[in-house]
Amino acid sequence: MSLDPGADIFGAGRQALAQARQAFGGQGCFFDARALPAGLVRVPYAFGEPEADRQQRLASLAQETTARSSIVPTPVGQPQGLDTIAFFAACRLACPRAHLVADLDLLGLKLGPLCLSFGADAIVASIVAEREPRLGGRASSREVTRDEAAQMLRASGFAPYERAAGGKACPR
Amino acid sequence: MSFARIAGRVRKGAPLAQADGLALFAHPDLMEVGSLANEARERRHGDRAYFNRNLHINPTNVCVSACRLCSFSRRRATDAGAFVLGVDEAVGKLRACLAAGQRPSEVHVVGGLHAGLPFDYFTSLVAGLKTTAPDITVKAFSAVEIFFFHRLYGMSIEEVLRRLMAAGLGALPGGGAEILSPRVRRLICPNKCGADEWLEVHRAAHRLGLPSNATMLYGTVETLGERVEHLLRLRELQSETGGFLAFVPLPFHPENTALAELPAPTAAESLRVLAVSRLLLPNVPHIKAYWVSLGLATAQTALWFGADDLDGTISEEKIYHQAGARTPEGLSADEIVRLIRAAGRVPVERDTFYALARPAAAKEAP
Repeated sequence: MSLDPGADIFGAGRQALAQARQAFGGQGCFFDARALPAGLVRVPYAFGEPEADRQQRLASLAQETTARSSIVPTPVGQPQGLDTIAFFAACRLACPRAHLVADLDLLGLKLGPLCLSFGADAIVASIVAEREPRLGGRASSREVTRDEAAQMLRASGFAPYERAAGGKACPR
Repeated sequence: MSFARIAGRVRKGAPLAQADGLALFAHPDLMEVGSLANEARERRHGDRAYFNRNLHINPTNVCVSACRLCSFSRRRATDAGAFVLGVDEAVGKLRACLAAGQRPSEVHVVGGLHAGLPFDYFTSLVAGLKTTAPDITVKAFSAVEIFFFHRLYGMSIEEVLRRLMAAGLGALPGGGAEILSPRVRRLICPNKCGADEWLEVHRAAHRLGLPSNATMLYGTVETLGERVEHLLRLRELQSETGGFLAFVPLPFHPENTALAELPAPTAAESLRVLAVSRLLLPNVPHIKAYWVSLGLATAQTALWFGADDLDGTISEEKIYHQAGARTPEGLSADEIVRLIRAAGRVPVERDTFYALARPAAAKEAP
């Protein structure tokens, strides 16, 4: 599908969110960036790239992915807000049965979780058992605890679980 | 009330009530709330998104208030990191900005509550800025500072404002409102002026013909009901005076504050606050997505969730960066124009009063 920034962000977002909830029965998962599960497919996107190129990439993606795939939209350069959520929605609509993963290390702690409202059903982050307060030099840290990751999913209406490297699921 | 009935009231131009505000905050579909706010935003502003060229100056971070929400202030002038700019030093920042070829239309001045400075320091600062660049608007001193001056120097609020206006003050910024609830203020900023006093300063300013902005700091200890009450109190004052130019919701940045254990508001929550603000404040012309506090990506997205303004180029933002903001300390006008165009909106450069709004020049196209 074609999606100009802002043109139909509400309709596409609503449809993508509904598909994400339907595909996984309302469950959403998180996993640690240092223990990635198998089947991860990184899909680059760049703000300002030709729309035809993006459509072609999405069409190939739709053919290659299965329900076991995990798609990680990966920004080339600084991610733009509307472009990112539009790309997530487009990925979800192109691949309704695959996991769609927001990478918090790349997208940050604001934009990353927002993608859970636009088709993502999973987040990957640097997970830590306990996080030191974001003070001084650690103010910009993107580490999150398991509870924080679970809360991000809950806040977007997903029942959270942790997906371990071996595929084991741990409900939160 | 159902969402459909709320939407009906918005489309008829009927004001929303407290229960409607709560329902909008609780509504499970963020897209539906955002889409309704976007309707209201586009009805008023079409595709336009405003910005200005501005400069921030913080004359001092010495502050007697010791608010738990703040990472900018220092209690004493001798504390590590404390500073007080001399008048020449502060005005020098504007001179340097002009010498670098920047063309700010506004200087935004806010600082700590420093009990050791004479009132003349502040009038001289305003006069110095205005003399250096007579065409700029000096938007200075939050209501909290004005109330502090009233108490410290033993003048009425009106007298404080009149003297600053005589020196060249053109508008008040909207800071220090936090949440207009005595309960919340007791918990996060017990030494600041109260909610009624904050409103009284703005009422007095508007009566004197001095326009202002209003803010809301969300994400500390407030309830959703207190957020809605805050918005309705602003709407009530605006009905009385018409003096607010813009409303600026500010997400709390817990980093480096005494409330560092609190989670920061999410981007989805910020978009909802902006959208609900647009819907509950139909009599406030502009809703500002302050890019420094929201982050560039969220601020850009907010242009579809009720906001019509991104604030400005800023240069040297200090207050949010002390609290760990990851945004740059300033943006060029070209960068803001690109950000707005990338959102599918039409960039319009404005002055403080939105009176000299003009479309951004073609040469600034990406």
